[in-house]
Amino acid sequence: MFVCNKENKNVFKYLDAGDSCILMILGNDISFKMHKMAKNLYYHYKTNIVNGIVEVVPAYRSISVYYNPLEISRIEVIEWLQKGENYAFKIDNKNLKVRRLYIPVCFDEQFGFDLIRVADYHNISKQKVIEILCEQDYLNYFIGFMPGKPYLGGLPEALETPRLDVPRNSLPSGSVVIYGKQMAIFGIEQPSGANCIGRSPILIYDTRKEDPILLQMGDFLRFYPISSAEFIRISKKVEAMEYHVRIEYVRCDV
Amino acid sequence: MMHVITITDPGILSTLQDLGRWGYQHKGYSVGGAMDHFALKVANMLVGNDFGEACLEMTFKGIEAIFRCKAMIAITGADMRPSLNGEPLEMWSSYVVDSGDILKFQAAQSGMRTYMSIKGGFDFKPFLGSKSTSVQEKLGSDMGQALHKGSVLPIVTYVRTYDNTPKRLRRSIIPDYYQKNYKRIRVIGGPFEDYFTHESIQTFYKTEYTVGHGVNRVGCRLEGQPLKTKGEAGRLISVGMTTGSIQVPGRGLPIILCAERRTHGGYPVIATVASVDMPKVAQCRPGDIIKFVRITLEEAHSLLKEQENMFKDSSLMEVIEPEEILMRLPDMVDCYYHKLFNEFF
Repeated sequence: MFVCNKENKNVFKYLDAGDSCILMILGNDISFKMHKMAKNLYYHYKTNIVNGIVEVVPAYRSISVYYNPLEISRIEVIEWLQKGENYAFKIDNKNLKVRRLYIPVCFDEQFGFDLIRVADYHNISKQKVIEILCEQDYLNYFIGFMPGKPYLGGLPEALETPRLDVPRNSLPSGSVVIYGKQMAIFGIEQPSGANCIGRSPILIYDTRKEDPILLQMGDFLRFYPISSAEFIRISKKVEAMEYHVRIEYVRCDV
Repeated sequence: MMHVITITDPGILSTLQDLGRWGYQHKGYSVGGAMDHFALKVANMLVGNDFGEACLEMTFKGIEAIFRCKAMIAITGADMRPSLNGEPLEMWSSYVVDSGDILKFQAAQSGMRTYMSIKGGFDFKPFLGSKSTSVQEKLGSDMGQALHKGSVLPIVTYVRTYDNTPKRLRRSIIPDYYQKNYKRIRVIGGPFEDYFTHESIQTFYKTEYTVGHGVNRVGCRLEGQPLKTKGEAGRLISVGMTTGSIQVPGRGLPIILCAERRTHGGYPVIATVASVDMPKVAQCRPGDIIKFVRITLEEAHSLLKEQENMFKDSSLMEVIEPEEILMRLPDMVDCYYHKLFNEFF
């Protein structure tokens, strides 16, 4: 079931990214509206895939379509994409629910190396930083870059903090970081210039599991503070694969 | 008898790679796979495998290994002066090896990456449809570790065809990594060419770039004339990247994204390498000179079709005559005739 918004017709751009990929550009901003369009189109194309299309990958305001030019022509790919354009404006069933995942984070100094830096930058207390961070949901616009890594949106302006002058050689997995207007949680240990404000004992990427990836496009994340004792307790359960992240299904007002 | 190869020297970076883990970028998995698809496909053809079977990819310096069983192998890509029990082996050819044989590679004479296929393939369970190793993502054989001293690689013993006739690639098709014009890399403009100034686009196609030291499976960093974006267009909202995307970060020096690229990126892409020329990028070593040549999308597609037709051409490979083997490798003849005998009777 979908309703087509006629005004929005034919605003999408198709760019060739080499000889085996077409980039479908939906707009030029990061917004809930773009996210909804990207998500609708992604699921539409994924479920209606045709021979020769290798895969469909969403981002903030674009869809990358990888194809095999020996099996399908560029024109056929674009026609297939155009045929689905209207699904961008699909109106969701009112009862549609999305996931809200509760992510425990320990903000102790041993994990949140830069919490004090963020607090000082904004001239507020560390406690206040934690409070602001934990009082709202963060939308996972899409997954990418690293396995399971969410592109989170919604960081309050009050917490926007520039990157470190000298990047760290390594930040452990589970690190919760702020860099500029963006924030993230790491699934893999990696070098980074982001401000590390805490660490979660959960694994958003766990190669021992059949599906190692915890998060999905369109999930909401809610962080909550835990003590270091709690961190150790949860870590042990995660290690034993006995920990389950609390998930709530909530109405999607996006 | 154990159907394995034991690694006695792992070389610099040796991993199993196939044509990649396509279909899972939406979960953030890198596609990965072989850097040089041409060399991988030929290696597989020479032993009668499917094109996309996983091969051993060696970087700059190869392995030393002992075979614990009879096997048929082929070696393609950069010439690392392979030898079997001390006797030199020819590149782009297949061989039958025996239990106890010692295979040894040295440093690449030219090019960067060498592939070794084995008839039947390496016996590892694919993850998400691929046997490719990702060291960064901890995927593939041995939890994503590169080969190390003492690694044991099991070989699939079931094979579809028992044709063990050694073959070689037709000489005219063997790429020459020394050749001067080899490093002319054909590209298709965009998708974000309009982010760059007119002068920068000219610079990109008119000047030469040198391959920097930051060359790995993720990307190939280039040095040369920096490129400028128009106004504040230095960053774009992150979009999906592709293999061959030529990203231009803030400093203005291009990076060619390779097999183990990340799925998304936020730097504008001035041009994208044509698929048929990615093997050239894979074989680039630091200091090599690159010149970008713009072609149309239609040209890129017909080049791909040409290559595909070439792979279908039965005269692509030549049978190596037994007398020739006699001259080349005396100790392998027994094994070869033994196989022939078995097939006939």
